[in-house]
Amino acid sequence: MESVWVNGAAVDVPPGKSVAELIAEYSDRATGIAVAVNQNVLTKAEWAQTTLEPGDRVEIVSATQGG
Amino acid sequence: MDDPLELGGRTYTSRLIMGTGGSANLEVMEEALIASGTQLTTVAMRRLGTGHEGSVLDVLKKHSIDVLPNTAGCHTAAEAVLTAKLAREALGTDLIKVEVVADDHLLLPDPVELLDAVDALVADGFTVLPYTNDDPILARRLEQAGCAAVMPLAAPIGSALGIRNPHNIALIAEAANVPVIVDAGIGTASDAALAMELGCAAVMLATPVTRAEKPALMAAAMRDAVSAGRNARLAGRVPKRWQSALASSPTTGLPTF
Repeated sequence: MESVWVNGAAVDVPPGKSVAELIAEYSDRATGIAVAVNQNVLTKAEWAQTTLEPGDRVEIVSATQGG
Repeated sequence: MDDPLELGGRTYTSRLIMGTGGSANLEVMEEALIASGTQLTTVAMRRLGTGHEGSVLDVLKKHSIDVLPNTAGCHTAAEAVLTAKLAREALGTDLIKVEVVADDHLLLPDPVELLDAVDALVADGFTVLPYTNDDPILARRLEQAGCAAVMPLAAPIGSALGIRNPHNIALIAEAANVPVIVDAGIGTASDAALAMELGCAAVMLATPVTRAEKPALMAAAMRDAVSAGRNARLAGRVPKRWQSALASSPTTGLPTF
């Protein structure tokens, strides 16, 4: 296992885990969600192609009431 | 009368932009949005799993209301740019209301960071609507930077103090070649009407509706106020007469006794 940061919390993930696999654990909705890894925003097409590396800082966000 | 608001290539018949923050629940929010007649409404971007997410997007979609993501909570240009990119990816819109505040006490825009963020976002193809101070020169600079509108504050966010500097708002509206949208600080319907009478193209508000005792009723009041203010502006008000009165009844044919 290796450790990454997801929305500010340390999370252990197996080597080779993709961003898409990670997101699936956080939401069953594929729409309305965006992800940044180390401050780079990924397109949805990049979710499955991007493999998590130890120490990655992942932010998963969605729209909420505001403004 | 056909008098649409044109904003970043989009056309709206409503000139009231709503926020969704502060509603007690989604049902109250939905009722207020319907009553307001809005066609464009803001949302914030927050971490998934913090209990904030839900079906706010579903409500907007159900009523064919366009979504306007904001960068609320950002303190630097870099944060705002990253948040805007996340919003574009999540929501599939190039619209972004850029908020870059200097601190969490007054929530006033940081003009230097704001302009930096605007430059980067315009270059990246966003349709940029900046929340700005009621500073005519900063508004001019934001327009020159390529913003699709400028959104000067009436008063600090959530303060409900109304338009503190109507002279500046009028100057901004007079000079701008893009829509001027008063944003933040509106307290009640007369504030919204005044914004439109001063020449603004639209009004953006959340708190005075979402935290009112009867949100849907206040939303309807805001809808009517924006419409009334717009009509009054277009109608051309009579000049103020400080020195004398002007009789509205004819002076000829006055009987003498």
